Amino acid sequence: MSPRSKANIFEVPIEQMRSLQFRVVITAAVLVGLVLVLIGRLAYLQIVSHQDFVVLSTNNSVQVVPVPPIRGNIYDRKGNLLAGNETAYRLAITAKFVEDMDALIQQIQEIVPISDTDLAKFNSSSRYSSKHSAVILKDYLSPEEMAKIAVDRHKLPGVSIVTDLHRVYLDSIHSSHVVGTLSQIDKQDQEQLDPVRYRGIRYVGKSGIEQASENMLVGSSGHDQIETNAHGRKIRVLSHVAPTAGHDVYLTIDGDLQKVAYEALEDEVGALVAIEPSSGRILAMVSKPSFNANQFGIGGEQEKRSDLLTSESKPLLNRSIQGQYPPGSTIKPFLAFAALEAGFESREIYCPGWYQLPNYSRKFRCWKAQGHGRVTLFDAIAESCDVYFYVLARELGIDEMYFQLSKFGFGATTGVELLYESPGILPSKEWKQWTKQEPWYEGETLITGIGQGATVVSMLQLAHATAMVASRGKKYRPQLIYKTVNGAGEITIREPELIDEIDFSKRIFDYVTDAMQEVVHGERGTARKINTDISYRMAGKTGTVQVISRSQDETELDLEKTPKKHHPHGIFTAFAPTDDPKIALAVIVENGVSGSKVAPIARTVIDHYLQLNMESTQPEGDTFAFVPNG
Amino acid sequence: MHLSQTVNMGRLSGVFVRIDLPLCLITLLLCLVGLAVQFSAEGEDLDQLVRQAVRFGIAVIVMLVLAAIPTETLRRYSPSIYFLGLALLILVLVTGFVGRGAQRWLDLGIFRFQPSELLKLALPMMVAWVLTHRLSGTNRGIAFLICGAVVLIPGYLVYLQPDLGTAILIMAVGGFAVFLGGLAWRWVGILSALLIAIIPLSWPLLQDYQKNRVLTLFDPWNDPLGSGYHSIQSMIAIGSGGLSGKGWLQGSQSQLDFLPERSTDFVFSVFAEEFGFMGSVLLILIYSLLIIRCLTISFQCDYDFARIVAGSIAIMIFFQLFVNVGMVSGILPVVGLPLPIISYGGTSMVTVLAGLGLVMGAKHARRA
Repeated sequence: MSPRSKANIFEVPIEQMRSLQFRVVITAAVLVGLVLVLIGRLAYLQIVSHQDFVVLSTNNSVQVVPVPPIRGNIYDRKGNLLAGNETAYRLAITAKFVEDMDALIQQIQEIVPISDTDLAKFNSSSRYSSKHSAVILKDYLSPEEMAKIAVDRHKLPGVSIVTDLHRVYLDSIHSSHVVGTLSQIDKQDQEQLDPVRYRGIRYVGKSGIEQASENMLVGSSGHDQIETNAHGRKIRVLSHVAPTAGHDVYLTIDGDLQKVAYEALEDEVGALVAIEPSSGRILAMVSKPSFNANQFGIGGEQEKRSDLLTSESKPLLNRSIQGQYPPGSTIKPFLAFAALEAGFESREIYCPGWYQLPNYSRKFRCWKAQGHGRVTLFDAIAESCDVYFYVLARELGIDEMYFQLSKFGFGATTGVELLYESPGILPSKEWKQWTKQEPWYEGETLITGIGQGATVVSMLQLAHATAMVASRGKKYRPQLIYKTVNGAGEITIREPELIDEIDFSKRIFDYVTDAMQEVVHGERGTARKINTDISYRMAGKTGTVQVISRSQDETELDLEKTPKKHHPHGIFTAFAPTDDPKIALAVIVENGVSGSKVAPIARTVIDHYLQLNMESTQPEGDTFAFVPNG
Repeated sequence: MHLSQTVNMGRLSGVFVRIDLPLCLITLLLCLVGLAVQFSAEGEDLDQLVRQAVRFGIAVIVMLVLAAIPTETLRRYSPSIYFLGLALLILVLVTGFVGRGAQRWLDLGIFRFQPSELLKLALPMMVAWVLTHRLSGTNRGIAFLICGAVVLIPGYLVYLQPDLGTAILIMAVGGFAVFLGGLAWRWVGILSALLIAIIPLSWPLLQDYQKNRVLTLFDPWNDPLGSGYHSIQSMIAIGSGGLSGKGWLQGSQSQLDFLPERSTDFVFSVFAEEFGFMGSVLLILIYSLLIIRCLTISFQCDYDFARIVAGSIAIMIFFQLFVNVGMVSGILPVVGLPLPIISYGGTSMVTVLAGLGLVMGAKHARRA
């Protein structure tokens, strides 16, 4: 950097200087032209067409008052109401008619209690609204409070009662993540929403189906044309354009099953997704801990809402689609497909309890320290032998595993209706290069073979993949919406959507299904404890995921001495009955110790569902009485 | 400047030396007009008026502070400010995603902050920094390519928020900065042609209601109570004002609640109804004086960085004026850009006055 070049930074040659200055002049000229356009337009409006607009202005005694539509209800597949609307009475004050606001509020407080939160909300919103508009002081008046206000109304100038529909969630805890919540439309929402359609509408879906099906649920605003006098007071209603009510949405969720699953998870943190393999319809989708949708949404108290937002256990997170966990041994049946294609059917491998790569000091351990002895692929699934899958993974290689596992949808979103679904991670050489700029190591291939390492899945993905095994390769898009019903009662059934069909031979499907059946019914199956008094055949797979890494020599985790948050996660996948699968599921209990410990939850849920299915035929939406909206 | 001489002794003298009297006076005048219109639009609410005046006060302080910072210092910090703005934009997008829903604010407790506002100023500064960089002298092509990225990345991020109006505004300001920085005329021509070609192609990308807004422009009477309502009511307000207006506080359109968003986006309609064609033209001329003053400062600069920044800020103000008045008078679609300084609200006011602070600083910018 010579001094000369430094001087060049600022000393622009004179010609260039002129030309840059010239650009400022050009700009000024263009701006003058544009200003003339504006002035021309104003001249047209204010001078040329002035008389026309004067006529319009004096005749402009018609105001448009929006009439918001009724939001569609949300039902479960049997027609039980999950989310509906309820008339709410709210106390509002129009500042224009009030002389002494503090005195008025004092006066109101003698009639109905006003909480500090209400008051704070009122103060902040009245700061941002015009004097002419009615600002809400208190939400949800009880009938008694209504009556008291009505009696004293004449003493309370500026006070009015506003009726409004508000959203209530009847099944307020079991299905909160699926049904979702609403929130008040704010300035940011306004930019995205059609202002005409949303005229007078105050809430918009913010999570779950409320958000995903907003377009169907919301309906469309109508309006009243109101004639006003010269002072803007209402004289009469000239015309009424009725709003279009939103569509009712029937979920594929079975409310009872949802409840059974929710309760089976007890107080644990975890998630469960159950799918109908023959259609992809989701029968249950539970995430725990949950939250009370009535508390979180509108009308919920601010403090409780922020508790939910800040709670360490993240109750607002929908773990079934957003929780990403290593699949652990539940990945093994899917890898078995690849193995069988590669001719592993007749292959026996000796498991001494560990495996070692040449030139690697690290020992890759089997969960069973003393080893499984000689095992076939069938045994390796039933008893969950890790060494078999280390060998398998090494021989298949990461590219082949990636190729085969991605057929089952791992590493990609399933396309369920909900937003913010996590795609999980299915690692590959390219993935590692892209995210970590590092080459792939063979040790990573091995641990991918037992579902550890970088691989993560959501319970929806795992249930979806299990359903594909159950349906013999049919890949249906997971669906949460069963059907919708518009205001005229017209029903639109959402048909199952077959996106792909993976072609493994019948023999391979039989083999994997039998091996998974052995997990539950076999003498040495890892989930054999759940087969007592079982009246049907169930296929399953356990998975246990370490949450802390342990040293080489330490083989058993002493659960007594370890804090709960360091206990392994337990995962279980299952479908049943094996000869004609009606339900496939995946369940995780965070820090649930092991897959075997979690398996009973699956038994409870499947028992309930199959029993229910035997009692009555498949519940079709058309057979129950349709409850009209509102 | 006699003003500077009288206060020269004080430590703050730097601030006063750097203010530009014409700019200050015009700004003050516009603010007073704004308060008068607000008073009418908000149903003669004194509290609102006081709050707006306080905002103006805060904005003036920001303006003076920025005017006092030497332009060379600002130049050096331009990349930091720009990348901070980008990082904040990404942050709001991410928190918006996590918090489920669109987000363009960062809540700082005392006040909420909109990173896209920061970029309205940081973007032209960054472009100016790139184009006046020592290495740009010999690598003009690369410098302009970098400028393209500097303009398009924040533009796209703001568009994702989604805030189409502001995205177009900051890209227009950034694009203009590149023009002022000396982009070859050939390229100015090619890019303008491309832009014109892209407009029809972007039609299918618009949301239905956005299409409606554009269609409404051509025929508002097609749906007078629906999508055409705002536009028609605004035009009635302006048109019925006539040559001399209905008088302050006398606009029937404005006073009887026909006009939507009276104190923010449609504040010009209130003004035009009450003060008529003469008043409107006068107001536009006051704005023109402000913009011409900024351009004059830009013209007189012998420091390229300052020239580009001052010119771009003039354009930022003009763009908002043109789009806002065009929108309320029915020649442009309804997009939410406020009328500079006059519309109710603090954020836009602070940005505009901060920009004017930069212009004042630019006036005194010397080669370092």
